[in-house]
Amino acid sequence: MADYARVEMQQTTTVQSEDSGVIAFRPDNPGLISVVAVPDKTKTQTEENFLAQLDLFKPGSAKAVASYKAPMGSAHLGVSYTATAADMAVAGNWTCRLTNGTLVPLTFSTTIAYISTYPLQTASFDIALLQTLLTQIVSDAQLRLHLQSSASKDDVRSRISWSPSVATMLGASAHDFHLDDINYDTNEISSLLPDLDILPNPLVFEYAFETGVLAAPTFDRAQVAFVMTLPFGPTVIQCADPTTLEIDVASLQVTVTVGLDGRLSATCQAKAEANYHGVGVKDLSGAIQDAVASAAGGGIPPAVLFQYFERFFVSLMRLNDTPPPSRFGLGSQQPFHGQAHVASYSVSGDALVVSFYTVPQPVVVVAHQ
Amino acid sequence: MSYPVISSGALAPNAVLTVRFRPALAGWVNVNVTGGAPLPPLRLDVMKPGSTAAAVSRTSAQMPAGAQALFVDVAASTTELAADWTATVTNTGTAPATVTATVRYPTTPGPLGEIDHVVVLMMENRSFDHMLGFLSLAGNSAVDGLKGNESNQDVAGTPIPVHHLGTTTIGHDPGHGWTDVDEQLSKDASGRPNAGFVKNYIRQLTSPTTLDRPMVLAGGTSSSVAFRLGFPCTITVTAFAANIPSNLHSASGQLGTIVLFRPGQTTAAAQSSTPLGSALLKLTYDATPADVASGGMWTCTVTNASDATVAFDTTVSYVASLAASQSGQLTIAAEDTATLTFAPTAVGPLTIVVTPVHGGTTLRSELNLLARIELRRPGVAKPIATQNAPLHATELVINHTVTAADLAAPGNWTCAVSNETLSSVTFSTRVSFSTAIPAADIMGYYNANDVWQYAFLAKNFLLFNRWFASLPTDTWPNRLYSLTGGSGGLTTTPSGSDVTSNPPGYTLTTIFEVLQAHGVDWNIFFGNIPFALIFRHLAQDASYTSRMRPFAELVSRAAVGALPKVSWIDPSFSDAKYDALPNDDHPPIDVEPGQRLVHDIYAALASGPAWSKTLLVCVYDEHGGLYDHVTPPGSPTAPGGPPTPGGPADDQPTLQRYGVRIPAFAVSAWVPPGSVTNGTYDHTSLLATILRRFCKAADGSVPSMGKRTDAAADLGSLLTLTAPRTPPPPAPSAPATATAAVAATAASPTSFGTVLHKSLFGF
Repeated sequence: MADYARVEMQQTTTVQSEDSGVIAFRPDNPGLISVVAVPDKTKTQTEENFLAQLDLFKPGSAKAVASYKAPMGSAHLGVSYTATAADMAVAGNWTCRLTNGTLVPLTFSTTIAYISTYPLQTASFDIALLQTLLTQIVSDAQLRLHLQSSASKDDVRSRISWSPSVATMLGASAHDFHLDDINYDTNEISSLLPDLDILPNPLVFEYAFETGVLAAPTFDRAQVAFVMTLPFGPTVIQCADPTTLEIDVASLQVTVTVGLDGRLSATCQAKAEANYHGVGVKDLSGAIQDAVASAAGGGIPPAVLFQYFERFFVSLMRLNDTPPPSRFGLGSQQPFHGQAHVASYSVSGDALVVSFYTVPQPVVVVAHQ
Repeated sequence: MSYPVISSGALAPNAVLTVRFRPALAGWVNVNVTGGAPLPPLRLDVMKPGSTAAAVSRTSAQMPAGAQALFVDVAASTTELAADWTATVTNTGTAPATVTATVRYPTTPGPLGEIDHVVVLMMENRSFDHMLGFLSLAGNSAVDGLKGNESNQDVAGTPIPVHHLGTTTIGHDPGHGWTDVDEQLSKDASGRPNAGFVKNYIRQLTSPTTLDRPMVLAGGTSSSVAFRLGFPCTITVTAFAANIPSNLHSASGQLGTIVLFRPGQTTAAAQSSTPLGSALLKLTYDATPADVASGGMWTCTVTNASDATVAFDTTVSYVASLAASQSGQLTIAAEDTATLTFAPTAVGPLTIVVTPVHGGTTLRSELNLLARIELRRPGVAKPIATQNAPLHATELVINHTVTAADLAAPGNWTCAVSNETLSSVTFSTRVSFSTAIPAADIMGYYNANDVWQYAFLAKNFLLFNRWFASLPTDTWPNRLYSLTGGSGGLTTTPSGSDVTSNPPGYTLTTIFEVLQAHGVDWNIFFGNIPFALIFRHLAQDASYTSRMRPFAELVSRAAVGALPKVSWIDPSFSDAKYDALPNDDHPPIDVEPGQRLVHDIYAALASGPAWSKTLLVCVYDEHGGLYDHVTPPGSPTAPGGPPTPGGPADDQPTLQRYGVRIPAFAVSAWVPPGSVTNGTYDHTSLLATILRRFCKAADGSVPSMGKRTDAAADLGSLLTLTAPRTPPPPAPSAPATATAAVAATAASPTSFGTVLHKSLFGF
């Protein structure tokens, strides 16, 4: 019989101004789930007139089952929810989202308590070795990124792809996603376009960028995330409408931050200019940066990334409760004793700490003839 | 006083750093001085108890940052242990300096006490005779190598003698699992042992080709199947009558006959008849080398001897040739061309498939073409086949049948792949063709030019005549023995699919856990993947993984005498992906990178200040299926049998036997040059040496790592010199070795490196 355990999971999360952070966890049984977050500041500047907000989500749901919006001066935020058996039938991670309503970064010390069948275990891995192995793994995985915009969300043209052997592991040869075209307000350049009257507003630009094989990411201890810089070559973005207006992108570099919890964000440095009949008319670096960063940061759902990382660390750190294979005289490998699931990641000194729990496999009774 | 004695200080010009110490036992004292910044000239003096005059002095010129500064070795007798010794470091330059002085001396009695650093390099899959057998042929009679008259018979009984390989590569990865080794060690008809290497290799390479030919034959009619034999083998023809009428009649009383004809002959090579009442016609024939040499098409004729129509499912099984394939990826710049090379050496189909991997959605082309491929014979400029692919094609394919005329001109074939687009495009490529069966390779050996670093080690250090793999099987069980003293019963490397779906978590106690528990410093220095990550206790604890460091760190730390007590080196494993050049010697790779690796390790240790306190053991995990003439102790009298007396002690009785002999050297200031030991060793001797040197308790007890390790000989008795000797200069760069380019073959799905990568990373 499994031991039912009340699990307390603690995590420290820094959330930037007017931004959000997500903590994932996985209860195994119905029962009370409670989340308490303590911010490091209770009174500071705000434009939104609240300190912070805490939302609790079931797996795969965008609607919070419990929320609390803390006014300025609150010492803590708390929500609770009693998970039902029906809730537990949906597999996956639960998440709590912390939103910073102030104009300064806030650091939350969060305690999540829930019913888990099995107690959490921890394992640690040296970050320097992880970084060394990452160089190899990313090279072996042959990761490539193709960004291509389109007008309709149903027209999916962007893709992150990987090697055939990774495809075999993940069960997918690529992840496809949609990026919006750049829409540009004609009025901003009206004085420079003599045929403005016949042009639609906004002007629509389709863009496409492609990387070579991605370079090795670096591990960011503070964010518990991999950071990867993607340089793209110079390119020209044609306006979709019949005009000689085009955007000349002299340089473009996207920095993608992939949290081990699945969060994906991106920043972009670009040098771009609108050209009309070959003459530069307006610096569009900011517009390109915003569009690409927004697009690249929304490419892959957090749950998908979380599962990829979970699979990787379960394998690398031998987290499954698996007996040694091929005991002499027994022939082939024995089945799992237990499948590991990652609850959270954190950094302690020079080590990545993985909190995980192991779900034993059901015992299979073989009927003897 | 903690050990080693280390003292650091900032020295102004003419200032002196003084270190006092008292050797625990008689033996040799090593004092070395290093600095982290450019060092001014220094003087090192070592004074024995009661003396103000230096027993030894050394001076150094100005040295760059990180360089070794000074070291001395001085003998301490039993009468010189009662009082403190003094070492002084004097800054004789004009600039300040920060220096560190480290003093080492014996802390345990016996020869092992002189060693403070054990360095182990475990390579992959080569046998003793294959790598070192040349030494006896070259006149070194102490080495139990080749005599030149050793041979194995092939399947037709033709002797394949040992011979020098023409290149530093070998074409394939021979079998080396448990059943393979049993077959390799088996006796031939005349009772000679170790007689199955060639047969095992041929069996591995020659999986039969099967032709299926359904025939519907009216009563009294015949039909024939033609095929081309590529290798001496057993030809098997079967014809199964699937619909025999219940009232079938035959004047001859036979259901049918099968007749086999050699090429161009009308006289049967063999024939077989099957009477009524049976549904299966069957014929077997053992084709000889002379049969194959004639070339041409063989024919087998099936005749329905009954008076009714019968459907026969006819199958012909034989060895056509050895199928080979090369796979890879090419990234080709816009409107540029790259070339594939390959070398079919047997008649048969040749297929080239080129597939764009990336970039297809946005490509533009002036000719509206994606790519063009052109196949050429050796030395012929005109293509024999071409294909153009439109812009959005998904693949390009060329099929060609290689004929005997094609093979008349030796050399590489080529396929030019031209990217016709305006963007860089990555293509995956696969070339499939037939090759002759290189049965003789398994009996090949290298010479002093090929394995130049081992020729150097054999001349200058100690060679093991009888170091056996711990088990007669492949990599994982042997490496488990080397790190844990056992394999937990594992007798074969898990398959790639097994470790992907069910990553093993080994819980055997490793030497690293024992060292850590005893406060002994250790590191793993790895080329591409540390093997020890397969152990769960290590992989889940950063205090262990933090000790797994890239190989380059070993070199830099050796240069300043900062190696840990135990260094374990994993070379860059073959097939473990990544773009690092593999240097583990795992067939089929070139042995040259492995020679360079050993050279670099030796050069780093020999030039470091702790040379006199260091023991390097260079060894292989197992023989890799390559020929060796010595039968390992404990080998069964027949394949699959129980171990015989003379094998090693082991916790598992069925594992009381060794694997095949492998190359091994002990490299140290304490071994005589050109020496050879005939003692029996296996990988647990590494553990025995480390445990008895670094983990011995005050009462003399040593932690147990199983019966095999407890009983294993350590290397202490081999350190026979009474004073450390100066290391000979490293061997010069490789001579003009006949190195052949290794064809870019696809990683074997069952190879050690592939399985390790899948096991750790999931793909």
